[in-house]
Amino acid sequence: MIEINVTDHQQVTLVEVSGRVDSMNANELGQAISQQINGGRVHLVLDLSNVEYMSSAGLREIVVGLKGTKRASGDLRIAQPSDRVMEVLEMSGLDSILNIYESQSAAITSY
Amino acid sequence: MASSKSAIRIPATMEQVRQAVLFVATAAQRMGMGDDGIHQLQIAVEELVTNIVEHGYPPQDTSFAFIDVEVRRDDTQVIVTIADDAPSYNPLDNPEPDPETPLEKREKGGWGVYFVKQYVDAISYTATAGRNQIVMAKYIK
Repeated sequence: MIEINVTDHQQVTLVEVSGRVDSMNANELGQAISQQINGGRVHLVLDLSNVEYMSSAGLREIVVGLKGTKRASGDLRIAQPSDRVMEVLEMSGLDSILNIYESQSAAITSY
Repeated sequence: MASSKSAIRIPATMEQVRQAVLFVATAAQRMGMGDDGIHQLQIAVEELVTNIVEHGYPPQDTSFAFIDVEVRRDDTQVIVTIADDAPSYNPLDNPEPDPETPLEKREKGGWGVYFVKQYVDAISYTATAGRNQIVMAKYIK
């Protein structure tokens, strides 16, 4: 139900997620992000263009990841969120906290 | 117009949450709800059922822990009822999170019930004879 691909682009790490992020699998997203942070890679881009469903469990992992990267002087930036994802980001006010980009390349080159 | 009622009982475990969600999605679709409404109902059901699994029943006692989910429709709305026998608890009383909270002051959770309230048109909680029951309604469109 969820697929996560992680690729490095020089100092930036791209985390591409697809599928349905819900309370049953959001921890997989959280682990993928925390693995990068623990490994010292703190300039993250989370591509959510292929996420068709995200509940508050997914948002929780994004907040934890964002705090983790910020503590390490990095950032977690969002690339091309789907309409469904954007809706929950807006409802929770995270759209004004996160840096959100319209394309993957814009997010990667923003660092 | 399909108007019959659908009901399912699931064990109160995290593995079963998705079954409840997809059950409601299928029933709501059959009852004429559009894609956006189905999506929003799925989020609402997931948030509420997950809350019951995580916070409702005592973790050591899951053998008789069930959650009942029922979907029906009237002329204009799909109505979802979620009931459990965990200790009485009204999630609608939770303090509402503030979308303007800065990052450093954000707690991990607290958004689930808030999303539910945004996504349905009416919601109520009752505790009757030891049962928690939440009824939520969403206009069909």
